[in-house]
Amino acid sequence: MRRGLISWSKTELPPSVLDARVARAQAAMADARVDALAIYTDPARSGGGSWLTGFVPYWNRAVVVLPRAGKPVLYTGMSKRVHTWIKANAHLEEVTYSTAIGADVAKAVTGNKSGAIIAVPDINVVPGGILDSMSNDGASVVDGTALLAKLRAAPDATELTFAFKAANIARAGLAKATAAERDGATLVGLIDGEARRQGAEEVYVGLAADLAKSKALLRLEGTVALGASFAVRVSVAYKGVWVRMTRTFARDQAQAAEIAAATERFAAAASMLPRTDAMSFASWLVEGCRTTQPLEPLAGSILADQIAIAPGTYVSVQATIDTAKGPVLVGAPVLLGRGGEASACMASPQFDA
Amino acid sequence: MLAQQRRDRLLTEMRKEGIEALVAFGTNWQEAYLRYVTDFCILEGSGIAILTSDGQCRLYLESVAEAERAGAETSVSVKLVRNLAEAVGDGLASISNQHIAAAPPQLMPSWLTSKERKFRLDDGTELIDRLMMEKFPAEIDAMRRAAKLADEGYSYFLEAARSGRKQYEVVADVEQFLRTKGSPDNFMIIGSGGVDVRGMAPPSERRLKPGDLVTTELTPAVDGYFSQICRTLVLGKATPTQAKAFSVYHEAMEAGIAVVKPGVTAADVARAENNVFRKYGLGDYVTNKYTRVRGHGLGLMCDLKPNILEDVDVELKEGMTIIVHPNTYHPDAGYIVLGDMVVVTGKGCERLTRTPAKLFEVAV
Repeated sequence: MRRGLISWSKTELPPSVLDARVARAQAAMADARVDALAIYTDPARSGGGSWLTGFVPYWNRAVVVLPRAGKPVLYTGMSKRVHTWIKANAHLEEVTYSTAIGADVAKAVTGNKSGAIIAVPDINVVPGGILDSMSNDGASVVDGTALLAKLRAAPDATELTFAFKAANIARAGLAKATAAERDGATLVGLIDGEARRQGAEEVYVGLAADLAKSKALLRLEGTVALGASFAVRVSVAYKGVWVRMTRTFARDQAQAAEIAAATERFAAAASMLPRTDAMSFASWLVEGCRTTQPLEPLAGSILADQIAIAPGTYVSVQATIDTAKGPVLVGAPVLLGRGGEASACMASPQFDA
Repeated sequence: MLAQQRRDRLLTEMRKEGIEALVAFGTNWQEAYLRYVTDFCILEGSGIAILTSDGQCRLYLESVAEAERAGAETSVSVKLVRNLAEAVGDGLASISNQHIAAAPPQLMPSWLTSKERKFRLDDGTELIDRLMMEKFPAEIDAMRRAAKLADEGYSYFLEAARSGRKQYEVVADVEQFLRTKGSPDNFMIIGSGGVDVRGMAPPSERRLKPGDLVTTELTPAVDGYFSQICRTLVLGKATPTQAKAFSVYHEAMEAGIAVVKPGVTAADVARAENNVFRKYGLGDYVTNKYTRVRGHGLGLMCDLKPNILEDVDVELKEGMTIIVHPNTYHPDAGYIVLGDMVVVTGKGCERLTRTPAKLFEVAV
């Protein structure tokens, strides 16, 4: 569920940018002999639909269908009363109300061409209630994951601008908190409220309230007393683009100095990405949006299989670094350099103690 | 405690129906089934849990952050996986010839529901839906605390909704208030303006201005349970037209609440609300062209069965919690909302939200 700002600013995201993404997608579809690209979207898998159309579902589910020619069409169970709102916030040819989304997509696609091929990204997680009937009327459904991943491998300037904005919102939220804070709920409220006031579409705050007891970043229900050292991870969406940032706090000045030093080590290791050999920490994780999942795990110390991280894209990186004074949890979005350029944090993970 | 009570109740029902395993799916906007089974409130990616009749529960998640959180927040066994469907399929392999139910099957990945699998997933949605609707006392207590927070949240909303502020800034303030009170989640949509406003949506950059009707549906969660309040305010003094229009909604909500008792149906409640609109010649505005539902159930999700509609014959029973909200468009004033949470009691119902059911006027 989303309850932050959802609004399509044509200054920030000109229709021409979305038209260019559509054109690139249609060229790739022609190369792959695909007749339609059908991108499943819901609040947890909003990445693909928002990239192509700007549409972010605050509730419910939908399928964005891009034909070989023309603009995308949205098939959704959201009631017709909200279609005006959807059209005002997304670059779509039309919005079609449907209680049988898969069947209606198949009907529309095969209406233009019998035996049409529909490519569905992240096909393994698309609900059976939609996917099973997408092969009605003689349509063939194929896995479109690689197709969408290739299209999204090199983000355009607008997507990077949104990622920088999300990074700055995350940082502004974390900057509101101080090591002097004693109450967990107050701390979470400060960060959440600030991020939303800065225009976040959604905010999740994870709190490790006392690092002497646990490093797990939890969703706070009720409240908790903060320990001498605690950590916060904020996950922020801005106009469909998600990033994460993590900060550790300590009331003890010596420990605060350790946090600053560990953060320097983190930034240095992040600058080496996409090489991960410098991530010699207790644990580390790289996440990003390749297709539809906003923060998909790509590489990390606990992942058995790693997904290649493409230069030129942005990812969210986090690490747990053990120090003599205790663990430091640190994270930031990182823009990956191309052609040997250094990578760099998109917002500084270093805060004043 | 609540989680264990829920799981014990579910296991009892599973054994009664001869279900060996229940497979529950969850994602950010459909989290209730998974939460009922595991007590985990999923935020990112998808999750599927397998609960077997011996009480063992394993939760499969595809997000590292969520898997780490679930491991610390719940008592179930957690497994981080790349391919959710195939991992769950592996988990079901040893019981593939037994009775396995899924909730809700239509949201499960297609691979799991394919006829090519050795196991078959029957529809177990109705079983959990019934348990989620008919709450036990500890659940109602959580709903009561959430309703109290909804009242406090609306008081805060009245402070935050000032002329000149943008919709999303107002919502941000309320969200901060709710987090500070320990509520991790809230469903909230908003509308502002005049006769041009046809509904509510996530907050935009529109600035509130004098004369606006400002509507909101505010739905905080406490211990996983959501309670909702719907209210409308005017920035400034209400015009006679706004006040007259609002009186219809007030009469309709009270008419709906007045009929709530065990044995009546959701349709009876909707009809009581809608008849008030029809009496004033506003019958067109209770159709789906202008409104979605005339209320709905709440609990582990902000929108549960039963929908309060004239074609829904679900019988109300003691322990059910619903909101009665005749929210719709009024041709003279714009979109107006008003709704209160009630719990069905032995003889009638008890109102859980206590904020006055009036058209609020906020000084500008």
